[in-house]
Amino acid sequence: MRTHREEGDTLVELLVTLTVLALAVVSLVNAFGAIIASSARHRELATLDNVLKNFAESATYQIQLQPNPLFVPCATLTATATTPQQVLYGSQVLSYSPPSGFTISATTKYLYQNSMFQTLSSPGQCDQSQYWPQLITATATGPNGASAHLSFVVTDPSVTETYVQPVTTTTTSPTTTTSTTTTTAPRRLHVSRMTGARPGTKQSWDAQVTVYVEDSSGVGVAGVLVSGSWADPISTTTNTCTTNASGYCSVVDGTPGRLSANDKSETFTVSNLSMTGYTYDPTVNSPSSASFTVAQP
Amino acid sequence: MNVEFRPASRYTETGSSLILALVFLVTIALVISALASWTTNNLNNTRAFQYNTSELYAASGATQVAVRASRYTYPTNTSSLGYVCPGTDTPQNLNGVAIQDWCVTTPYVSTTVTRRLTITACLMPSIASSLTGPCQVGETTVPPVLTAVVDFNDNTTAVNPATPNCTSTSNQSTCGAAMTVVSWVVK
Repeated sequence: MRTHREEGDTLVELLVTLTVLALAVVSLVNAFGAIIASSARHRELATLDNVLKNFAESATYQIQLQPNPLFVPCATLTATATTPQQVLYGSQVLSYSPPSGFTISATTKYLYQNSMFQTLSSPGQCDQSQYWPQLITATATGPNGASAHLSFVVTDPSVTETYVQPVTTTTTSPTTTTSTTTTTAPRRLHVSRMTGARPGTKQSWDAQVTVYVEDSSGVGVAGVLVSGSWADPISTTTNTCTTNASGYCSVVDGTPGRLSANDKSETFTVSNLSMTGYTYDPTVNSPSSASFTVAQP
Repeated sequence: MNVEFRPASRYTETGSSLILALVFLVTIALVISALASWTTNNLNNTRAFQYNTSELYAASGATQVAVRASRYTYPTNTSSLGYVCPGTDTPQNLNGVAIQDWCVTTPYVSTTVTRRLTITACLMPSIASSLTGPCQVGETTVPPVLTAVVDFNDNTTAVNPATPNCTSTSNQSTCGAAMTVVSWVVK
């Protein structure tokens, strides 16, 4: 006696099985498709986040923190359409380029009277004599159109400003009106150090003087035109020089070997430091006389 | 002709395919749910990171505003309790995050540090609320995001350090002649 049925599955069972399998396969395909799409979206969002943070850190360093910050009052940010893309801060290029396929754009607001951030076109406009902090809002756009925003503040702590002091004026009427005068002291330069050299021998030598220029925060400033004079000038002496990236430059007293044993010393005195956006503040020079004497070898 | 009658089995296989199908469907549903949950969790993590970034930059920006405003402004309140920092008299709304800074000024730390300012950036519930104490809004404590310590030297080189400027509203024209950021700590 046989105890097991040998009949095949019925048609209905077969159809049910096929339907279930079809549903399962369709669901799985859809699920994997959605997961792949969301993974791409996730990757783009994460990259956008990194792009924005990298841009914010790079811009903050260049505008605010580096020895010669790029900060310009009321500056605007402009993104170029070039490849790779560049971002201009005022007329200065920020050394940052977004990854391929991503773009950066940015807008700027300024902090009016230590109160609220306003757009540059707000009534009252941005006062270029003030070093008001700027709120930069960067927008990064990914290759698939996703975008993200990040706002950050830059300022220029190396600038010392005079206090914004309210001035009270009493008019003939009993009422008192208050107005505010705002002034900004331009950045100041001074001679921070002078050194000398005397190449050659006692019978044939020449004098060289190196001038170090710093701003009020003690940072060397490049591009400053140093003017002065030698105590014993001739036509081949150099009386001016321009500071290098470390903030110093050198002048020489004539051609090599011009001086002889009869020349006991030579003195160079700085008369002026000039650079756009800065003023010369001789009261804090070191040495205070802004002069240096090179003795005979 | 012999006809063999098979006895009816006590346990037939009828309907087993339905059970198998249900098990299969439940397994597939579980797999899909797990994958969806994993993906959702990743997306939520990304959004959380983005919010933290926004919060950090907002706190940093508001604190920079407070530092700059304090540098050039005579501190009207030097009590140990502190005061709402100038520049954030109303909370700054940056990146959609409301931040207000709480300042404590310590005068005359040394001859070269005529003011030490401790700033705490607090995460505010809205720009309509205001601090009443160090990261306190009434009876509610709001989370601090960043704490900065900044030293100011209100002297100029031509002034005797023993008699610093910026000691009163009448001689504050050189407030903040020098500034040093001592620390900048994110909570």
